[in-house]
Amino acid sequence: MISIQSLNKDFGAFRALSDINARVEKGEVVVLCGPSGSGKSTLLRTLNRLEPITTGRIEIAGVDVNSRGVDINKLRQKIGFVFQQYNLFPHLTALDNIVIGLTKILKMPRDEATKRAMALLERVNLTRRASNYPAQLSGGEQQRVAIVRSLAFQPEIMLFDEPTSALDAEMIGEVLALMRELAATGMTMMCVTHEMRFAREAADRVWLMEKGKIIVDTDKAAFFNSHPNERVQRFLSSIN
Amino acid sequence: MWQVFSENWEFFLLGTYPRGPIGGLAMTLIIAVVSLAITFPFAIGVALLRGSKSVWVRRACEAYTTLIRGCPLLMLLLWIYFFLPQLLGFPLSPFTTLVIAIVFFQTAYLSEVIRGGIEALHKGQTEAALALGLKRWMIIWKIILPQALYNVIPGILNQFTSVIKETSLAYVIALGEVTYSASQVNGILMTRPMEVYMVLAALYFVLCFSLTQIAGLLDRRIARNRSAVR
Repeated sequence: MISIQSLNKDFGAFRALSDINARVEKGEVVVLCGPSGSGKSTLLRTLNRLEPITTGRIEIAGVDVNSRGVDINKLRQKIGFVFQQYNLFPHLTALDNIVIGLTKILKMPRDEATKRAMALLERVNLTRRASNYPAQLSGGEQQRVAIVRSLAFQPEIMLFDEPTSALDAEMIGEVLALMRELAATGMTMMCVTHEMRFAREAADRVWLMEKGKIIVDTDKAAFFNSHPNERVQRFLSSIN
Repeated sequence: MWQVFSENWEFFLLGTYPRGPIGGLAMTLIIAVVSLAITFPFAIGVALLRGSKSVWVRRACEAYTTLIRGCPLLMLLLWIYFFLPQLLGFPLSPFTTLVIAIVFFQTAYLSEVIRGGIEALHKGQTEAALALGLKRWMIIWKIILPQALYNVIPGILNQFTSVIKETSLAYVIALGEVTYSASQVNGILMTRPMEVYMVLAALYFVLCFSLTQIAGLLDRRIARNRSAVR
């Protein structure tokens, strides 16, 4: 589903991503972890071309993301992206945050779009919040709206960039529950997170990054059950 | 002062209307509203073009704003009054002349205000819209501009007070707005210039003061809404 080949990304003289080679199969849930500044978010952002790459190749469902001919907006509809800061549109209601994409991008009639958006809000128990503005919602509610806003396009891949880092402790659970539920439906997912709870419960694989490189790419069981790599041990002890 | 106003209030507020053309404070307001209405879309355009991908477009817009901000409106008005009819080959009414001058002048200032509003937005807004697959112009139209313009409503209102004061330059091209009315009243009374021009000052003050009060009110309310967002 996702294939990354010899990917390099520079910010000026700083090499943010260095010779990344990796694959994600359909239906896999991959958790990216590592110390801050290791390039996790940058890697995630190159996948839907929010961040241009320096050299290398990224293929999503067989399409070269960075080729000139690619219809990037079409491709982005297949890739849901969830931000740390939710990034809901503050001038639109929760409902309209979802509807705007459906009517403007998919050219769906407004009532059909509203129906689909309401169904999504119901899925995350937020129908009563439909006409509220983002500022009136809690962080957890905002993030759940942001997640279903991406799901409205029925994407094939969901990317999460530290989805719970900006949330108060009591709201992390509701967002992780939604993500677990999504993982259980067979969605291909990549998630940058420090929540090892989520990794233990829902991940198939774990990538550990350091200084722009993937230093460990292994399945979950191996990662958490006395992985021989001492850097994995150091990382696990540093976050616990 | 009150006597001067009460005896000549129709002339101060409406000019010779309904016997002759409309003038006075009404004309001042008409010039200001018409000028600002035309300035607005141009200012949005220039503000957006300053973020253009093309260096030349960016530079051209920057040159325009820098040049305009470095020259007095009165000079601009005289240039347009004397040169533009020659270039066009037909005469322009004083009203059109003044409106063109103010639009040309204010577009530079208002575009800076709007650009400030655009640049103040969190870049996550554009990124979220891009990640959804929205096209560039759709992002500008549906996501960026509504938020940016809302945030600079007080700035736009303040600009409106500037425009009201600038309309007084109509005096030099004999367009009958409120300053012109005052000078005519003064010419008829001959002996009470102090009182006549105090009336004029009071009229401008009431108008501009109420606008800045509204701007201040909106500014506080918008700041409150914004802090609620994050």
